[in-house]
Amino acid sequence: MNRPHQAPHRWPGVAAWFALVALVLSACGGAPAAPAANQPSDAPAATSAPAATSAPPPTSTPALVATPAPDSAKGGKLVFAGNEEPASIDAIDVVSVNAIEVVAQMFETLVYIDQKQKVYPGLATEWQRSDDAKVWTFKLVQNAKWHDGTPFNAQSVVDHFEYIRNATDIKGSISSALKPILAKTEKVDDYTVTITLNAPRPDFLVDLAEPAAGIDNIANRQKRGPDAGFNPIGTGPFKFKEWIRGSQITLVPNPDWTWGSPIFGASGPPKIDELIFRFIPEAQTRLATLEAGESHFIDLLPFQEMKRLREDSRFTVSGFLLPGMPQMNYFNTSLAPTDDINVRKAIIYATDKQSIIDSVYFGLVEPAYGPLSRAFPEYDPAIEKLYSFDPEKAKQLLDDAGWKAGADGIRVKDGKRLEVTIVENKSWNDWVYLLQANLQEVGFDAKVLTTQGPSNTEAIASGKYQVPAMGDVFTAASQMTRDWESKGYGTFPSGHFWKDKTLDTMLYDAQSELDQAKRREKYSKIQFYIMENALMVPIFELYFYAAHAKNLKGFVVDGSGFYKWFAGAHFE
Amino acid sequence: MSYYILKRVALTVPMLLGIVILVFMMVKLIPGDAVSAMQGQLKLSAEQMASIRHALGLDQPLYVQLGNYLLGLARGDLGRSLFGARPVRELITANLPATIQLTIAGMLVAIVLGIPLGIFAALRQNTAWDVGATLVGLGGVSIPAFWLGLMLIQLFAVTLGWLPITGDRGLRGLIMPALALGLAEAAIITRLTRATLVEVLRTDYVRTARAKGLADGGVVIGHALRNALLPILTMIGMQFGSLFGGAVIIENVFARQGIGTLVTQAVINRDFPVVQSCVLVAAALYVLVNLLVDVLYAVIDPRIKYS
Repeated sequence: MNRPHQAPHRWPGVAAWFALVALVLSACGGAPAAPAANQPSDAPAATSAPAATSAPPPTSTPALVATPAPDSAKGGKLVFAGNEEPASIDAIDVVSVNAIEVVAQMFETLVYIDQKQKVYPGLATEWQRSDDAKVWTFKLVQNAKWHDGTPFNAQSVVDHFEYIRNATDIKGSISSALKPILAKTEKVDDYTVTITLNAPRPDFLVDLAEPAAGIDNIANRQKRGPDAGFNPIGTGPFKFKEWIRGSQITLVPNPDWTWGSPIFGASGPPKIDELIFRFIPEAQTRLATLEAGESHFIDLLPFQEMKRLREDSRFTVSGFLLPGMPQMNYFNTSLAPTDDINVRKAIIYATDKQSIIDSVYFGLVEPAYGPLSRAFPEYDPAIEKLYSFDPEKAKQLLDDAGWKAGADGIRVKDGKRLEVTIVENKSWNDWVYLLQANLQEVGFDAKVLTTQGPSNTEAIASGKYQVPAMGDVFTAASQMTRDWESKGYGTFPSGHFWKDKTLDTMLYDAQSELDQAKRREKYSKIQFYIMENALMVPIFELYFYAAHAKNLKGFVVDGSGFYKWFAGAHFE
Repeated sequence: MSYYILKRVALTVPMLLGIVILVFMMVKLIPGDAVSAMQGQLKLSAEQMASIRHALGLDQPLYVQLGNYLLGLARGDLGRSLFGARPVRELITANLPATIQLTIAGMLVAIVLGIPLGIFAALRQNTAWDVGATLVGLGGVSIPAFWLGLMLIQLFAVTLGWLPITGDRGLRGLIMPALALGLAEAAIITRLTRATLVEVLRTDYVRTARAKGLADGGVVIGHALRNALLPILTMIGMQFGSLFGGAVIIENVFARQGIGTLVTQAVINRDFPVVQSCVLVAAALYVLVNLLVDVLYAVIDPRIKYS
């Protein structure tokens, strides 16, 4: 065989592919941490731009409950641009935020909740709970049908919750939270069911109102097997039409839908002709599609583009305060030097959160002070007085704890340097670099470890790092238990490694409290307990920004401030 | 020739097997697995994590997991995605045509722009035209495809409104991604064509052809370019790999369907059946293109014989 002359070695092409995979793998396996449950998987990009704006966090939220579309309302195609294509749109095993956004249009929940925590009827028209909040009875709508035309009734609800209770591999965010608390679900009559829980759960309606808690058609699930997530059958305002992999998911109105919740402000089928979900990972491209008129609604806006977009008369930019645990850094109390409360307090005093807000987030978020967002009625404003930005006090605390400044400015004690590692979840925790600078100013040797996805959860659960960054979105104060109970010791997202029965008792007691006043008091004590023990440094309250075409009206934002319902959406 | 092709195809089997094992080990060596990827969003209890790991077979020894995957592969079963349970074969079938379409379009941009520009620069060697073409080539190599893609979007979609960014799977939707992908490769081809052609134009047989009174066009196209084409063809074969890799970035910028977006997400999620199968398909395609290039040598240069 004669080899052709001048033929260069052609393996670099394959090598390039390997290098590519290796590069992505190494990026994932690198360093730091991220937001917890239910957080969007892409964050508004932070910038190192200076110039803080004095703009207050925007509050141009749409009406909490949509008003019916006027006669002049137009249909047409509504294109929603999200950031990541879901793996499936399975109602029970729904995981990612983009999947939940799609699922919430096709599957209805028993009840709905708005941003003021007001509960609305959904597939349940009335509800009643036992005095101990363990047995819940629901009266159901009587004219509802599944998308395949079969009737929806009490048996449908029994099948749904019994499936969740019995299945061994539940993966959905809400289903997996509900599974351990469900004792049994029983049919009382054709349109009445009772759900019995293992323990009192005053916030059970909040759980049921999550957009990921839609009632699934178990018959379809059993018929389709693993493919159920690609052939969804719900009762909701939109029906599944097609999924072009890697491109878009198209939903069409359900012409039979007349039993919708009053929260939608829509008494009949949706006005729009098609609801299209496109998934655009690159934030600038997502923005460009809005500006070019290719999409009508985009979320996860880059903070640096917000000002320009808000000044553009073609669009409306809305900011929603996300309830839950604010953006923060845990202190790993099982690892030196953050096992010392003085060191932990020194970090809190050394953190200049206002500078972080001004320079990284352009003044578009608000400072946070404790483990609960101010969105909750249980939030205690008194917590705001507990700490202030005071680097001198931080230095004093470190001096008192025996950490003395060394020749290079880094403090030393018993021959050990004051070293901490901050764990960052790539693209979510852009503040960590300013936090690093704040800590270095008072004598820490602070390093930043960048992680993403699984490497973040592994880094936090490993307990090897002192200051992992976090944040969590949830809609009831009682859901803070999962972040703080010692049962989660050594697992994500419990980055604090604090094991104390006192706190456990306080959490369990508060989450079962039925009296509102007593409940607030109990949660106030929890907030003070966490901050007095310096288990975290709160940074800011996260606002979730979305932009849409100005003539798009009638959509509704859910209680978490994150998801949208498009049942009543129309163009004017 | 057919013996040569058969031998080459047979050799790809152990090579692809090696690639599968290597990629499997790479995915397994990094921290975290598919369940810890889910944990980031779900906060599962230790018991729930163990249960899901068991259901997905992730609690089995590595050699068993690899063995199961290879056995499935031998039966033509690429497995199911750990996220969403979609069959991997279906995911690849849905995404591969779009990536091949983009790669070929990028290649066409590279060839259609690169070769004529290279010829133009070679024929006007050391003139302002030559310097201009070289500078354009330099710019093409230097500008990241990612940035170029965003600039194209701003100009042609946002400002002028001529071209769609996403959603159009027809020819119009292909123009910007193909340009963003192909321009850097066009620059490389321009520079190679110029260098090779300049060398060939100095050879005796070109001088002879000219002395015989052949027209300039005939000399360049019929004689010089044909001989200069071999290294260019080799380069094009090599570029197929980088174009296929570049499609990962461009698919993300333009939110296009394709293997790139599929594999990126799969790597982040530690969805190893998808990662492995995507790399396997990419490697197989690359081998195929190189085989094709080898066959084309014989077509372009009749002196080359495979025996």
